[in-house]
Amino acid sequence: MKPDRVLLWPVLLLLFGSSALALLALTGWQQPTDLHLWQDPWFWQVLRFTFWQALLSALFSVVLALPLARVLALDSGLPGKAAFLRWCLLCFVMPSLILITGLVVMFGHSGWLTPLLTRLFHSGWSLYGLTGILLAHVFLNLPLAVRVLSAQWSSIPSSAWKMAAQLQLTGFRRFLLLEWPALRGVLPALSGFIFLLCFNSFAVVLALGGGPGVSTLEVAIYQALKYQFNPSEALFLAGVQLLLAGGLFWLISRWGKLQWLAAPSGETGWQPSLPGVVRWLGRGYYLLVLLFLTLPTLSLAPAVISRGWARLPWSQLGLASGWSLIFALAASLLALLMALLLAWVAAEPARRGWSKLAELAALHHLVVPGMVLSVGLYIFFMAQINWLDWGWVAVIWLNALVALPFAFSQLKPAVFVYRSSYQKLAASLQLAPWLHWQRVILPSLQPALLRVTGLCLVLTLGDFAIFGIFGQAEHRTLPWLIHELAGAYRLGEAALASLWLLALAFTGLWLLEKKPGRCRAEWGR
Amino acid sequence: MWTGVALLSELNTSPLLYVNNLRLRVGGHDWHHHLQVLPGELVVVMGASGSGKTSLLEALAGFLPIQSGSILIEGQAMEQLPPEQRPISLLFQQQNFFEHLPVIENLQLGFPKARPNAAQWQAVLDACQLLQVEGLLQRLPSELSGGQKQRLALIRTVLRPQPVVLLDEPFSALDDAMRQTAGQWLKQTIKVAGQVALLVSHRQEDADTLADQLLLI
Repeated sequence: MKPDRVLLWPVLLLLFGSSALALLALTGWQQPTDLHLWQDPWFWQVLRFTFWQALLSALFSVVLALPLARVLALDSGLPGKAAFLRWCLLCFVMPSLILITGLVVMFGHSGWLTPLLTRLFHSGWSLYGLTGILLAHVFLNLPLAVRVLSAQWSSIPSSAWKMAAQLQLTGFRRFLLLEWPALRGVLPALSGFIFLLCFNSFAVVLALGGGPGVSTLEVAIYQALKYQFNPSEALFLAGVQLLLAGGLFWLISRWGKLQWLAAPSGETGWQPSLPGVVRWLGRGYYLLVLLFLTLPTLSLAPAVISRGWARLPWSQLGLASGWSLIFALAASLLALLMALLLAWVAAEPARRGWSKLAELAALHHLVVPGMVLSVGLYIFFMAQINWLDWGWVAVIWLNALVALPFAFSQLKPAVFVYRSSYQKLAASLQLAPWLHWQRVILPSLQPALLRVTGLCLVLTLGDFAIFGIFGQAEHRTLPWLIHELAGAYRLGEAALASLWLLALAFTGLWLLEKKPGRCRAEWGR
Repeated sequence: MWTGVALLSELNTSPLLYVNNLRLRVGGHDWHHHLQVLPGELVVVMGASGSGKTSLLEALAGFLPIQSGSILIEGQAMEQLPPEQRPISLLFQQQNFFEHLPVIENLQLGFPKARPNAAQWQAVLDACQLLQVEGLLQRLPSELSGGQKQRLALIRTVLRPQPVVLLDEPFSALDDAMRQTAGQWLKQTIKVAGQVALLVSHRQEDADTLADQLLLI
C-alpha cells in the first residue's frame, strides 16, 4: 500500500469521526435536546438579532468598500497603495480581541473619543450593543471587501479600457458596460461570505454585545454551556446554528469563490485617469478609511505607555503567550500536515473516488461552525473525558479542524499543478518516496506551505470560541487574557497584550505574503 | 490497424528488449507492434503525426495501458510493473525538468538516491562539455533556451543506469551541427554501455545515420 494511503485512513477516521460524534450529540443521543426553546420568545429574539447584525454588517462593509476599491484600482498615483492592501489583509485576519481592546480604548466608557461622541449624539453614546458590534464587524470585514473588489476592478483588461476610451464612453455608461459586469459576479458571494462570518461571530458579540437583548446564537450557546451548564439548551441552539450556517454556506458556495488571499496585482496596463474632483474626493475617502482602520490599533500604544512599563503584567503576558504559541503552533502543524496529505490525494487524477473523499474530509468543517463542533464533542465525551484535564487536546485538535479547510484550499492548487506537471517525470525518474518529498516536492511547494503556515498561525492565534469551551484558566491564551483584562477595566494591560498579539499575528502575515525566493543550487543538500 | 515493422538487424544474440505482439488503443485507434532489439542497438521510430509514436514509448514506459501482448526487458515481463519500477529511462517531448530546481539537481535526480558515483558524474560532465552546456548547471531550467534544455535532458536520460532508453524527438530544438554531434554521442554511448534506445524522429537523416533498425509506423 502507498505511504500516503496508509496515513490517509487514520486521518479520514479522525476527521469524519469528530464531525459524526459532534452531530450525534446534537441529535440528543446522550442528552435530550431542549425543543421547548422553539416556543420561547427569547430564542426568536436571539435569532432575529443574529440575522439583523449580520445583515447590517455585510451591507455596511460592502457598500463602504465599493468607492475605496475603485479609487485603489484606478488612481495610479495613490500613495501607499500596496502597504494599505497589506494592512487590509492583517485587519481581516486580525484576532478580534485586539480590535475590541482598541475600540474600547477609543469609544469605551472612558475612551478618548467618547466625550466628543456624547456631545454629538444627544441621546447619548455607548459602544456596547449594536453600535459596537457593527463598528467591529465593519473594521474586520471592510478590508476583505476592499481587497476583493479592488482586485476585480484591476482585472478589467487594459484593452477594454482603451476600447471604451476610443468609443468615447464616459461616466455612467462606462461603469455600466465595463465596471459593473466585472463586479456583479463577485458581489453576492462577497456579501454572503461577510454575512456568514458575522452570523458566526463570537468574540465581538460576547465582548461588545452588552446584554441579553443583543446576543447571537454563538454567544447563547456559550452561555448555555459555560454559565448555566444547560447542555440540552446548548444542543438545541447548536443544532439551529448548524442548520442555518450550514445552509448559508452551501448557498454562498454556489455563488462563486473569492480570491481574498491573492497578492495585490502589480503594474497594470493603460487605465483611464480619474477626473480631478473624483480623484481628490477618493483620496479624502481613502484617508478616512485609513484612519478608521489604524486608529483602534494605534490607540493601544498610548494606553500602554500611560500605564507605565513597571506596572504591566509581564509574567502573565509571558505565560499566556507561551500557551497561545504552543496551541497555535501545534494546531497549525496538524492542519498543515493533514491539508498536505489530503491535497496530495485529492490531486490524484486517476482515483476520482479517493480524490472526492479527501476533498470532503478537508472541506466539510466549513459547514460545521467551530462552536457547534466544540459543543457537540464537549457533550458527547462529557461522561468519559475529564475536560478539566484534557481540554487542551481538544483546543489543539479543534483549532486544527477549523484551520484545515483554509489550509487545504490554499495548498490544493499548488499540489495539483505539481502533480499535473511532474507526475510522469517523477515516475520516470523512479525517485524513492523520501527522496521525492525531500528533494523535489517540498522545495516546489515551499511558497504555498509558508503561506498556509502563516494563515493557520494567524487563525489559530486568534481563537477565542474553542478555548472558551474547552480551555482552563491555567492554560489561558492571549485572547482570553485580553478579554479578562479588558473586562476588569485594566485597559493599559489589555492594550499591551493586544499589541503583543498583533506582533505575533504580523509574523504570520509576513509568512503569508512572503514571495518565493530564487531556487539555489544548494537547496536540499 | 496493423503497422508495418521493418527488422533490419541480424539476430545473433538474445534481445534486450522484446516487444511481442503489443496491441495499443488510443482515441479509437488500434496499433500493433512487434520488435526485438539487441544490446547496443538504436531503433529509429518514424511515422506521420498522430501515428502513435509517442504512445508506443509511453506504453513501454508504463504510462499507457496495453490491450494485449507483452514487453520483455532482459527476459523479464514489464506489463504488470508500474512506471516507477521499469528499467527504462524516458525523454519526454516536453517537461523533463523540475522547474523549481537548478539544472545540476535535476541531473543528479536521474541517479539512484540522487547520488551519482564519481564515474557516472564524470560521464555527465564530459557529455555536458561535448554538447556545450557545461556552464549551465547552476541555472534554473526557466533560464535556458529550448535547445539547451533538450541537450541537458538528453544527457540525463541516456546516462541514467537503465538498460532501455526511450527518446521522444530528442533533437527537435537543435541546429544541424549540434544534432549531428548529439546523435553520434548518443549512438556511441548506447553501444558502449550495451543499452538499447528507441528514438522517435521525423527526419530521414536520423534514420540514415543513426538507426540499427528502422520502425515505420
